[in-house]
Amino acid sequence: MNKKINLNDDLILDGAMGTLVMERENPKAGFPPELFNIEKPELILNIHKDYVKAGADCVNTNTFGANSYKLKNYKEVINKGIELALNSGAKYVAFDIGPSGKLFGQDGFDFEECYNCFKDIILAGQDKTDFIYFETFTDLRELRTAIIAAKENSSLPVVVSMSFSENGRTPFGTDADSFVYTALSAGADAVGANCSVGADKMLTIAKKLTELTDKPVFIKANAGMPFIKDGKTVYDTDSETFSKQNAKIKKAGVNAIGGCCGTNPEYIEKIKEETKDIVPEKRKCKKISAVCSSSKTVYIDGDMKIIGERINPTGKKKFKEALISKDYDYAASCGIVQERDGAHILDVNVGLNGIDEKAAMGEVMDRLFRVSELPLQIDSSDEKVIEFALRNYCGKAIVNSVNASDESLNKILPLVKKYNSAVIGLTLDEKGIPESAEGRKKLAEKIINKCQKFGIDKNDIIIDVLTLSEASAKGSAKITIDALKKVKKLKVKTVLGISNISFGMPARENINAAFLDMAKKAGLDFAIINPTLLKIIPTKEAFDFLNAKDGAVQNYIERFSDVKNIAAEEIKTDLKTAIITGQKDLAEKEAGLLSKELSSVQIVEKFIIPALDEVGANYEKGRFFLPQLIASAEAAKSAFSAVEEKSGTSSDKNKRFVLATVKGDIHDIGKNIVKSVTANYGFTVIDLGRDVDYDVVLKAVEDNYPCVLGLSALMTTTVNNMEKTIKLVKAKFDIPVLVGGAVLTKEYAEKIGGIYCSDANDTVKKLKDIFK
Amino acid sequence: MIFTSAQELEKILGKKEDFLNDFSKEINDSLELKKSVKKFSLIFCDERIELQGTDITFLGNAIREHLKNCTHCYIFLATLGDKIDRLSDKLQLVDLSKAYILDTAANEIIERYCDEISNEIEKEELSKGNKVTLRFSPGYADLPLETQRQIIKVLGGEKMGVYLSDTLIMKPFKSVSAIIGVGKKAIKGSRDYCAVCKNNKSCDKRICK
Ligand code: SF4
Repeated sequence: MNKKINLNDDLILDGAMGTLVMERENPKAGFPPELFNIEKPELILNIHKDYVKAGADCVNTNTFGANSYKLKNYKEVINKGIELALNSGAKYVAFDIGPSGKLFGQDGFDFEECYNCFKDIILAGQDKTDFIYFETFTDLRELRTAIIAAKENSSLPVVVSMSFSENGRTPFGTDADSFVYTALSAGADAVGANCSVGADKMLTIAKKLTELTDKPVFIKANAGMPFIKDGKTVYDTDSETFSKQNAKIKKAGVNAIGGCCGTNPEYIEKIKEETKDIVPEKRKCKKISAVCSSSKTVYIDGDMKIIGERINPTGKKKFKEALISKDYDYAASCGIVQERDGAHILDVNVGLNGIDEKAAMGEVMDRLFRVSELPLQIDSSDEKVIEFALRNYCGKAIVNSVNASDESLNKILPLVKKYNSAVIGLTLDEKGIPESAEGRKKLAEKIINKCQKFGIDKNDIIIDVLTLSEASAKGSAKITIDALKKVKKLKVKTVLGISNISFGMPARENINAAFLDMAKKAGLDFAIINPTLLKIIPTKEAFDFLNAKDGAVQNYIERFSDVKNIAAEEIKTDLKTAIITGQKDLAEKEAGLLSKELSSVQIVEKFIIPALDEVGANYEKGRFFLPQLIASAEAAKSAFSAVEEKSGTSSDKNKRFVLATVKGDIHDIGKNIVKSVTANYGFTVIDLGRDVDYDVVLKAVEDNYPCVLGLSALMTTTVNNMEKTIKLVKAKFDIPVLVGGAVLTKEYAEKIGGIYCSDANDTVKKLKDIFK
Repeated sequence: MIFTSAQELEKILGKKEDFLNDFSKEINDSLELKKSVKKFSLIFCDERIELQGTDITFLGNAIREHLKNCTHCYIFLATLGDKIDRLSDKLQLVDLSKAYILDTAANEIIERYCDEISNEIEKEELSKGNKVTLRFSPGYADLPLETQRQIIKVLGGEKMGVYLSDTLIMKPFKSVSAIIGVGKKAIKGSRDYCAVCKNNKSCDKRICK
């Protein structure tokens, strides 16, 4: 190693390793080239040397796939690989680390497992190289975890590079913007792209990266696109063309270039020659304010952004029940709906007495990661939960919140800095909320100062000057708007929760919408609201009320005190039709109306069950198809929930149906359909989820005994696990086991001791028989 | 046409609905078709068939029957991508009926995609005077599902975003790995694999149609 590397220098990187190993040694397809560090060290050393001779300033160690999942002796491979690269005579050596090969998420590994995988790799490298080079990553969650592991276990600079397809996204949906902001906030020192595309297409990605950051950019493109010739993979771009394309890349502002698949020393030599006189263009990226998820970046650009407030149990009975029963899908579905209704960011609050908030936060975040693109705002009063969430979150989040007390600032801001998130600062302290706008501005200044002491960028500070009920203290709205304008002058971002303003008044949405409009005009950057509010056009009465005009309260109340009843009368379809035609929202409204006059039992017996029976009959006759059956079941479910909102659960606690997709099987759409359809007939459905272990099924049957068990398996291989589950259960409990799934037949089902159900409708019939 | 259409969704739903136009567009926009195809020489050993230049071995009697008279084979991996899985995850939480329609449509799309890949292979081989077999996939009859692990590795599944879970399930869900035999006298028709299959005592002919 020579002097310490400056990643900003113009650097010529090396070319492909795998391609040359293939060419010179022709190992079996799929054989890990890293093993040659030990089996044929001179082969690897010579490749490094050839690259150095060709003009590479820096070579990558031959350790791309050296991790505990791919190679048993990965530590030895790493040591040897680093030694070889160090002996090559290269000016600089990069410790090359690729993806683990394991999938992140529900059926793969979690943060800790992933973190440990990369920690082990990094420790094995013992900081002997000039920097760490994470490359060819496609999953941003894995990459971010790797960066954190590197930063916490090594003092080397970290360069990170992802593979983008032609559409500008990785196979997991990450775009350049989200990549850059996420990687930099996690602590990466330079960003880049490699593999997947040739240098022509790479130019677009390279340009994008240089626009997004002034950090160093590393680019290694493939030698064009691969095709098969005489049974061998070859690439379609020669070294001449490749180097010309790379000259353009360097010109665009990229300081480090080399090659990926299909390149060899000749390509590197040509690049060096072709680019030696090119001076990269000065970067023009301006300081921006942005937050992101792994696939979507939200720029705080002056247009007000909506933060959805619905993922929060406060004052929501159903949400609380869902959290207590660990039904995290409920929270996730609140996210989906808000995204559909126009939210830009989702606030996530799962704080509830008596539950493990940290675990719940993890589960909800995990689900949201799959089903929503929106960046998250982590909302908790527990700093341990905040830290856990920031560590696990893939993207750049907002922390909600700190206040102006020293205790809060000192506790939370170090976390905000460590993960470079944005943060909301509430203008209140030990003494409460200052009454005046000036007082709130003072607290804002205190927060901003403290943030800057911790090194938090001004772009990441969001001040909340707080909304108080106008009905409780006339003039509150004006003070808040005033304070907002003052804080805007401090050159930070601003946020307000909106709905407090209307506390104590009728038709609150109308006032909320008016206040939102006023705040927006005053330059508000973020509004925390239920996004459905966006559909409401505020009236003059509401504005008058908020402007504290004389007599406005009286006027408003007169005009709006019975506004709800007006809306309710508009609905005319009856509940039965709504269910039969599968109209979810309508069914919910109808049921809500009916429940004012009828008992829940009456509604279920007179409307819901007859409707479902009719749907079932139509289905059997082939008049309805499965999706229609499901849509009706879902509509009935909304009707139920509207009824239950008023009178508590209506399912029969004595008719318990334990449902699971068997071990090894993660296809659970079939099971979910059965769940949805059966739950409507008053059975208490206990859903154990998918890939359910034998013990878990046994335990659930024991807890709910007597009950009926339902098992689903979709694959030929997991049918065996179904058989095993039935055996174990039947050995202890004499209960009926309903089974279903695409590969099952009636004969086979019976042979393994199950009762065959051809579909969800059939399952209902069998359950009715059993519980008769 | 690999992509879906409002008409196709209509058939699945069983009636015409306005939302199907947008929905078919949403599905098509979520497709990220990717494939990887390679061809190898076959080495027939006593208990297994090897693919020359790889660690891939085929066990079982059914694949042996399938590849009878073949000298080479193609292996391929095809996927609809992760985005369609995400759409499915999402719909399962908020609109189960649409989730079902999507699932059914996606199965048909991946099938058409595999047909297209198979047809390309067949065309190529026919022009050389060879014949090809139908597709055969790991997990079918007595060809172990584990075979998938090596196939995915050799075909560079990771780069396509295709992973295998510990329980040998492919992610994205809508992914297929398959084998196509090639030879001057390769037999195209499907056969009675049960007759030769090692599982035929225990399995009650439940799976392979
Ligand atoms: S149905 Fe059973 S016996 Fe026949 S091929 Fe399939 S696994 Fe083998």
